[in-house]
Amino acid sequence: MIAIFILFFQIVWAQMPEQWNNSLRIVEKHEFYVNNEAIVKPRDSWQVLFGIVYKDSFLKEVKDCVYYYVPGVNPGALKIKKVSLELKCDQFIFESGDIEWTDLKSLQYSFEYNSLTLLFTLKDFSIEKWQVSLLSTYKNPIPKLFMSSAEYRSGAVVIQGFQGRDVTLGSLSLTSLKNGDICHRVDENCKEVAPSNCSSCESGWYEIPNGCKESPKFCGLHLCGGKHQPACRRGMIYQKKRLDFGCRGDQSFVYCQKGLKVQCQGNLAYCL
Amino acid sequence: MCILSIGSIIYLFFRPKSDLKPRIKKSAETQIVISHLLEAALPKIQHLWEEGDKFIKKDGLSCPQEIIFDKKVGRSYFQCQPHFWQCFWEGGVQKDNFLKIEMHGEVYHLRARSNFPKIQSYSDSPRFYKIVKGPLKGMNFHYGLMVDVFFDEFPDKTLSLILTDTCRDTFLPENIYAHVLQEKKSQERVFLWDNVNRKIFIDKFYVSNQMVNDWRLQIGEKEKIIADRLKWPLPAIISRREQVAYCSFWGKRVLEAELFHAASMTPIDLKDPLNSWTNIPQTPWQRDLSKTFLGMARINPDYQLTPLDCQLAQVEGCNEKFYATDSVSWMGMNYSLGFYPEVLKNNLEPKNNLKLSSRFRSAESEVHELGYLTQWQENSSSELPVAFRCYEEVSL
Repeated sequence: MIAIFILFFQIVWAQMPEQWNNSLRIVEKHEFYVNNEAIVKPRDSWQVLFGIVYKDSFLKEVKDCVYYYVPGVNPGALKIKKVSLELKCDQFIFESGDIEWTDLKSLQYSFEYNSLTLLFTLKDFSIEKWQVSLLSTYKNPIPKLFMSSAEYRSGAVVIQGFQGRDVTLGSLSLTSLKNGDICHRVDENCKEVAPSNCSSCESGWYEIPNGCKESPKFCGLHLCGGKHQPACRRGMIYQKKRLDFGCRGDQSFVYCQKGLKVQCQGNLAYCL
Repeated sequence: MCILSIGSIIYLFFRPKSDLKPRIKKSAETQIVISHLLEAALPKIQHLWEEGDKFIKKDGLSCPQEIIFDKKVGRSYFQCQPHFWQCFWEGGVQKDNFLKIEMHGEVYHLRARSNFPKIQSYSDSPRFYKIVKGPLKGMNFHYGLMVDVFFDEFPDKTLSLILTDTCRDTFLPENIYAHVLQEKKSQERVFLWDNVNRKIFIDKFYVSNQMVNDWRLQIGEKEKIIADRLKWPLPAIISRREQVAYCSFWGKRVLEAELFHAASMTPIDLKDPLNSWTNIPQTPWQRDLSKTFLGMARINPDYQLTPLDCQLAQVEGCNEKFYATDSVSWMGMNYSLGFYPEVLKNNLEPKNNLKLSSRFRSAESEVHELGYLTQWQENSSSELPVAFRCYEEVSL
């Protein structure tokens, strides 16, 4: 009886690529496929399901692209190809995979907050299930009283991954921005051109206030208020009334040291 | 039915194999178990790192080459402390230098590996950690302690973790604050500003000699390391140029005067983010100085300091204590009054760059009052030991 039960409902843990145990995040997820729904369209075509980023044995981030041939006239197939993090998975959609499995009846997957489940049915109707726990999907909390910057930025423990005993720190690649590099682009109309990357500055950052909620920021030593230096940000709330802030308008959002005046370069506020 | 069952069992063993091999590779299975074990172990690792002081028994520590347990030093010194981490895994804290992890009724034993090169300036032992400077790819931190851990039950699987310094600083809530100007008449002394939409974190304590030692190792100045372990918890007295370099190395800045005042002066109404500052508090613990021991000392020359007074503000006549937390301000910063003179960058009045209130001034001195700043010239003849701390503004 038990055996019959197993026959009908067998879910066997198969050989998921071992490197996925060090997975960090899912990228390039197919925009139309829905969690836990069998993928049936477009029939007889290769589709990019997602890319999965993990750390290799040298602790370098790499990506496996996961492709699925949607069954139609021909049976389904799954292939995985390792590519560089910077390259897009769809560039390699018609190339052969590093690993391929054929004769699939169906496939579905689901991606939750920090886990991925891949479920597929084989030719003999047995079901394979792969489960991936993502190691780092840190969501920055809303800072509150007594919270530390480390807790806000990355959490108390950052998991590097499994490794042999001979891995050295030299294999960790630095990605910091150098002093002078712009790390947060905000245009003259207060539009954020690109999200802030100032956490990657090697030794801090400074901003040049422009009357917007966010100002352009640059990597480097923070100096403000002095002669020829950017003005210091004073805020836009303490005035307790809505004002039209701007370097050439209401300058109460910035200040300079005693004896200096705010001078504008475009809409950027400096002290002179 | 019985024949069917037996037949099914036989089928299970001899069923045709597909291209997918439904077998569990031993190592993959082990890694899944370790992943789950690690999940169970992380809170305990974090507890050891962040609250190391709670592991210290009455008889203290027995690794004098690494860290010294001294009654003059508060327990915060042992929190997020690399030397405590080293001491623990060397067996200097408790006899059993492992963490017991329970999962599904089984007990596992987690240990750290001394995988990292020795630091000659500290000891001849290989290290259980390595300090890592960020940011690294995909990892958003400036200071991290890289450690390797493993379970006795799976000795071949080493897991690398990075412990970040969650003990160091504390968030300055977004609010309107008052900065006190020195060169104005009393009614014009209040300078309002706000930090709405800014994520500012201020060091809880002064930067210590131990912290500066670790920085010096990072920048290759090991000849300048202070070797006396008893001096490690003391505030680092270094040049202004080095203070700036130290903070900026870790992505921080030397604390500014307006932030110091914001962190020291309790807002009137914490629940109202836009409260007004018509009444500037004179101490971190009591808005009216006359109701504190400092006020009493001003009117009574024979005032005798009590141990409680010295916990609130270490002034002249108090015993030295480091990493004490009884002086804590409303947002978690220590040493707003008393203890050491502290240098502050003053953007408005650059000359007024020193909080003079310290253990070098008697209780009745007028310098012991929030908002009182004066001038510090680094190379002046007075050999005043001036401490510093950093802050960080995070932009994500």
